[in-house]
Amino acid sequence: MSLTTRLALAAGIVGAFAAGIVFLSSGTGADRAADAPLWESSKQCQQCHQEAYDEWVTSHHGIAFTNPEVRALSDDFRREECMDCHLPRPLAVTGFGKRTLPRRTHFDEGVSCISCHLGEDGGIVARNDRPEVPCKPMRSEAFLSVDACMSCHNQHETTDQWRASHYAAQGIHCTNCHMPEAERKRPDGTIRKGRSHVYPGAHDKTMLAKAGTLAARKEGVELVLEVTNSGAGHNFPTEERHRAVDLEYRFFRGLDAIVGDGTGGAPGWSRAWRCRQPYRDEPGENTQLPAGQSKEARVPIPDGATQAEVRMWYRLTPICDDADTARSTLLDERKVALQ
Amino acid sequence: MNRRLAIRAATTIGAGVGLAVFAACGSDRAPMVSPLAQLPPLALIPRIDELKRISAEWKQDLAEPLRKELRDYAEVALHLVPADERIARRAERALLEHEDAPLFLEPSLVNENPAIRSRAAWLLGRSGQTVAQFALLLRLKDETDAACTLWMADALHRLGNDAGLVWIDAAMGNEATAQQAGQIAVALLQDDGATLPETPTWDHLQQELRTRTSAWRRTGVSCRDGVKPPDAARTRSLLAAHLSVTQSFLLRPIDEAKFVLSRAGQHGLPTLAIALSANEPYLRSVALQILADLGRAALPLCNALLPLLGDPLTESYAMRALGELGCPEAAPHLTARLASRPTEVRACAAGALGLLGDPAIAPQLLAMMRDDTQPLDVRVQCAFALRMLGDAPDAATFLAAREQQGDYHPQELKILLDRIRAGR
Repeated sequence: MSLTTRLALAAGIVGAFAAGIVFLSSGTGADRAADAPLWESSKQCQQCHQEAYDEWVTSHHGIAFTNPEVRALSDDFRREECMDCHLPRPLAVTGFGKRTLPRRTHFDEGVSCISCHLGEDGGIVARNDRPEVPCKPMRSEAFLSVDACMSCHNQHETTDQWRASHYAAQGIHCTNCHMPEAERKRPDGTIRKGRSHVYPGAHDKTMLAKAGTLAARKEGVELVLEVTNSGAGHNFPTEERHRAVDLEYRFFRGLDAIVGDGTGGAPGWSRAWRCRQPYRDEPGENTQLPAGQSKEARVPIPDGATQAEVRMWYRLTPICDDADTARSTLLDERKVALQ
Repeated sequence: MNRRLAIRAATTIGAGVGLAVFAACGSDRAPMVSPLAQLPPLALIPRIDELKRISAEWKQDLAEPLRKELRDYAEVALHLVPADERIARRAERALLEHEDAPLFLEPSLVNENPAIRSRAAWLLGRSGQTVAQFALLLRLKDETDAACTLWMADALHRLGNDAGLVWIDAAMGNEATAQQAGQIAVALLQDDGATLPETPTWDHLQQELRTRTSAWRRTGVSCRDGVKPPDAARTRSLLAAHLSVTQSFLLRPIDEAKFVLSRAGQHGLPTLAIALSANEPYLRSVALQILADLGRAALPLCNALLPLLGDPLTESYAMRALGELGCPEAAPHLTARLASRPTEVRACAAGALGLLGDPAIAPQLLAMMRDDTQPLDVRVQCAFALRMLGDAPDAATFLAAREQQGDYHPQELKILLDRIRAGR
């Protein structure tokens, strides 16, 4: 071997080592350095992000695998398809916007901090590059996009509904409503803008009340009830087929209630309309209300009726009644004078 | 992220060039041998298109007059149209004699009338067309009517699939369904040639069913004699169709694929073998989850599973499946993974080693269980493994402490404790 060749080889080897050192010290790559942090649990995030952790831990992301409601509906996760999104591996493992795969650890963490914040390279992704802080987050457009939510929430076509709505065209994303800005205190006491990790949605009355608007009026011999999806960037209700929005009414003759047909969620009440996607084997069409759309229901006014009461309910399951306050939320009510 | 990628690409290219030159100089250093290097090579190739092709290979090819005739027979046999008893019996007999009877009965498994669903199941069970077991399995997933469930389980057994016997067993424990379940069990067992006392007790019937279920889980082969195997081409086509949707976004069809194939016994193994070498990640991960559920019945695929230990995406699913299959060749690879960095890998390795049943690993598992620097996920799996390997009083105490202190996910703990009670 000539001297020139040997020198070239030596340079190559030195180059390889140098490149390797740079590679490892950059903290990137699927084969991360053995001493690079291994992000697995939300508890690792808690140390520096207590406020966000506290919001998340009781959120429906945090309790996704332990929530009794979910456990009942999934037959204690014997319906295994539910696990993929209720106990997911980090989204980046399969790719933001793609289906998730289930994990078999950290059962109490449901959709954990790591589920969303872990990048493809095993580092942390966030809204900003912050090389100076311990977890060294890097900005990721994929993480910030609707695709990140889509991995799970399009199982029930919610992100498709959003894409078909005017919200998508206006650039109003999931986070605008479900992760509003929140003030965060830095260790030095200064304030920065962060994002809430409470994820208000179907269990938040304020959020629900913003989503739908109820109107009622008398038109000739009919009572007209109208619900408008005025605030949700997706169908109302959306997500699972259990969810329902009910329009109910009852009539009075003077002070006496006129007995209804018993289809309402309480004695004396009748249901005029239900917005819901039926179960797969259940007859009927999908009556969920797309963003911006309204639905009118007309009910004949009984002879002598003097007043009508109208209510809009949100139900977490289609079989619960008004008294079931854990699963039924009264969103709005109206009285309509009929004479 | 772009900056990272740029750095990564530049450094990788630099390193690659350097290492290539380094390697080319013919270094005579001895190669480093790691225990993981002994894994069979991982060779992943596209498989979804192949499965789609297989699923399209079998086509129903009936002339229209015959189709109409069979449809008419089915409508009478299913009591969808009125007919006198003699005609009904003739129609039923003519339909059941035809190998394409399932094509005209299976649609009625989803009829809105439970009586029609039960009747369809009953007829399928007596058709002798064993390929109908896959449609019955699929319907069982969502069947909510107790009587229908029993008739579907009955039909499954008659068609050479014992996965449904657990439903009959469970129904005997329910006051509302016990009588019907008992009658079905007696008839089934008598047809099997089992020796039953003149007045068998519930315990006797349940024991017989459990013996059969246990054998089914162990072998994936029905204990019922004289059942012809389902048509191979149609079976392959049906099961390939289930697996070919596993790359799609929606989970429901994937759960259906899991449900059917994990209860199809040995019939699904050829199709699952194809899926194991898929470069489509969801397909091979679903196949691994199905194999774990199949357990020992899938042991013939043990060697096909081993390369997937080298696939970071499905490594933990592969470990679980290898443990459930009872694949002894996996033991050294699983042991090596007890020292892996990811918690999930260590936890799955420990659990799988417990299922393999080699007590030589117990000291290492005991040390890990006692190591409080290990996450509870790992320590609990070590304790589970120790209990599966033997009495392990320390492990029993450790698990009892978790129950008492409530510091581990209760439902997961219960699953493990139930498994320990049930044994391998």
